[in-house]
Order: sequence, then C-alpha cells, then structure tokens
Amino acid sequence: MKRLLLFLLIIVSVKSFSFDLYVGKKLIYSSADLENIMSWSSFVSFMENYARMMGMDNLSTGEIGDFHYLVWRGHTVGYAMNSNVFVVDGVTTRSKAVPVDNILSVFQLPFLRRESEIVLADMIINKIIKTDDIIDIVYDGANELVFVQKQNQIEVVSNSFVAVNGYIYKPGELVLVIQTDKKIDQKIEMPGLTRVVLIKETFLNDKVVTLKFGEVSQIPEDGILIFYSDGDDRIIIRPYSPDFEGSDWPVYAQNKRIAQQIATRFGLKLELCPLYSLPVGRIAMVLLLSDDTKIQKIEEYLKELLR
Amino acid sequence: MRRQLLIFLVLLPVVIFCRNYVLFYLDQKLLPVSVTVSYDKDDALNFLFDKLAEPVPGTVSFVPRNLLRAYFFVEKALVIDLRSTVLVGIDFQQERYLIHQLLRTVFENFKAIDSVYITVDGKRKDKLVNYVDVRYGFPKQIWSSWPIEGER
Repeated sequence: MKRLLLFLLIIVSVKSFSFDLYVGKKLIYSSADLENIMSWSSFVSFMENYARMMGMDNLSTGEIGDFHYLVWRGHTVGYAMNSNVFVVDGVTTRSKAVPVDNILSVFQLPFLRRESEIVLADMIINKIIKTDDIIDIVYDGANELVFVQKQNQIEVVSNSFVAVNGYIYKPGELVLVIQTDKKIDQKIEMPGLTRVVLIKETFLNDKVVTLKFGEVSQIPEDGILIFYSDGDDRIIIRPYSPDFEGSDWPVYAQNKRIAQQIATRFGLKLELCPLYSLPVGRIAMVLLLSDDTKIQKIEEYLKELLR
Repeated sequence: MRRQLLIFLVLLPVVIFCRNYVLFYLDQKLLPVSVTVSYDKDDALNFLFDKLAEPVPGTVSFVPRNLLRAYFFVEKALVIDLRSTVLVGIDFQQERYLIHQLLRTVFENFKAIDSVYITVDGKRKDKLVNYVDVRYGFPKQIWSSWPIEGER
C-alpha cells in the first residue's frame, strides 16, 4: 500500500512539474522542468520548426562568443550561457533558461496556457475579406476551418487551435458567422489562402436562348446562351481567367455546374476552352451534337433545371 | 564488369545533366498521349514546340512547325508569341486542340508558371485564328490536367 502511494506521489509530482508545448493538437516538446522554461538550443530548434510549419519568415540565429541570439519579426532574443543572462530587445534579466511564454508574447505569437501546457495556434488568420460572392481567408499555418452551411448564414468553426486577432479558438468553437442567403459553391485552396465562392441557388435569369453556332451576328442581352452545331457530342464552356482576379469565378462555377448536369444526362463530354463567341461573365455554352434533335430535349431539360 | 562500369560512367553525365520533359500528343480518338523526352540545353520552350510539331508514331499533333515566334517570362506569367502564317486554314477542332496541347505541355513542364498569355505576330489579338479567345490569360489550374472531362 505504501509502495502504491509512493508511486502515485511520484506520478503526480512528475505530472505537476512537467512542461508540455503543443502546436495545435500536436505535442512538440515535453520536459520534466519546473515552470514553462526550455533550454536555449531546444527553444531555437522549436522556433525554427514553428516558423517553418506556419510558413512564416525564417528566423536568423548567431553567436558572439558565449552569447547566442535569435532575430525574428523585428525582435532580438539572446542568451549568455555562462552568466545566465537573458536579453530581450536590449533588456537584460537573469535566467537559467528561456521563459517560453514571455518570449512568445514578445514575438506576438498567440498561445493558450493550461496548467503545465502551452498551446500555440496551428492556424493564424491574418485577414478575412468578404465580398458579395467570395470569402477570402488569409492565414499562416494549416487550414483548420470547417464551413457549415445553415439557413441564411454560414458558420465558420475551428477544427483545431485557430488564432484571430490574438484570441485562440479551441476545436469546435465558432470563429465567425457570415449572414448570407447564398450557398457555398466551392472552396479553393491556395498556399495561405482559403477562398469560398458563394452562389445564389435560384438562378437570376431562367430564360434560355438557343442559337446556331457560327451563324449569329447579334447576341441577345438576356438569358442563358446555348449555341449548338454538329459535332462529336460535347459541351464547351469558357474557363475563368487570372485577368479577372476571381470576379469571374461565380459565373464559371454556375456555368460548369449546369454544363456538368447536361453532360451527365445526355452523355456529352465537357470541355473547357475560351471560345470568343462565349461572352465573359455570362452563362453560355456551345453544344456540339451528333444528333440535331437532341437540342430540343436539352433546352427542355435546362428549363426544368432552372425552374 | 569493366565494360559495364565504362557504360555507366559514359551514361552518368547524361542522366545527371538531362532534364525530362513531358509532351502531349493525341491519339486517333483525340485522347491525350503523354511522351517523356530528355533535353539538356537551356532553350527548352523552343525544343518543346519543335518536338510537339513532330508527333511520335501512333499519335497526331495540331502544333505546326515554326509556330513559336518569341517568348518571354513576366514574373509568374509566360507570354508566347505565335506565327500566324503557319496557322492559316486550321479548323475549329484543330484550333482548340492546338491550344490544349500547347498549354498542357507548358504547364506540365514549367511548374513555376501560373498563367500563359498568347500574342500573334508580336501583337495582342482577340482570336487565335477564328474561334479561341486570346484576349485574356490562360490559368494553370485549368490546364494542369487535360481540360476535357472523360479524356484525362
């Protein structure tokens, strides 16, 4: 019984006096040290890994005799090993190791402190830009957001430890609510950017205009344009272009979705090609059909689809 | 053993210094056929255009000879200037597949390029020949795979 008690006391004391450092849900560093301190080499190694993981600027390190230093984000942190002197932006203190939470604050890195643990965000949101049809989220680290479509709003929920304006949202916490009557059409991932394209489910224009491809001199101003001609059973739509910086994505997404539905229903191939006859910023497609009579069926199907 | 070593030593520089490039031709059903070639000089784009104009057996290509007039890089964009005289008489299908072959090959081999712009005879044009709009840039995301669903 005494042995068990002793064992439990040891476990409790080790647990109480250990220090764990997490990035998101991942344990990065653990030690039996008292308080939140790290050796200089462990600290430098951790900072290098964290900057790399988050895709942030590289830090630079150096040494002058016994004095080791690290420069990052306009701040300098240094440590003289023999004299146990610790320097932060020119201010000197005596310390045997690196006081982690102080230094994280100096570097303006958001973190949570939980008993013997420090948890750093694995996603730091720098900017949220919302226009009518697009939500852009600019971030460092990994994308740890989940978008939940609800009636008249989109909820953005944290999937890990997500920092916004210095505050850290824990897993499952609501980060943002966007009031909109539009639905999420697609999510596009680029390094450091998540772009959510929104679309209005009901089509603004349900008029369908069918025209013979190559024989039209004037294009009607309203309606979804369907050009048709003889061919090998395919639909051609205009892709988006980098020149429009994303403003043509909503129309492209809507156009592609309609074209895909027609292609699936009528056994057509879908081709992306910027044909001059297809106006920019408008739902329009060219149908090349082996059987001319199909065009009426496609027109009826499209009208049904838009209803 | 010595002979094998000699062959290995002769081939070693070829392996080290040659870069592999992927070219996109078409089969008889106009499905894409990728072919890998090696090239060790700097002027890779001219080489790729020349190779695209010479389809390998069993394939076709809509890229004519002497098509590339000039090219230059602007940050992450590539501007290619084409010669109109070699494009005379191509039809609707050839014009589209020529664009697909060129862009698919360029984006496959120049990973740092995000977009391609096309000029003709040194000038900006509306259409490549009669159908394809070349007023705007062509994005990598579309041509980093074959842009016809069901033909990839």
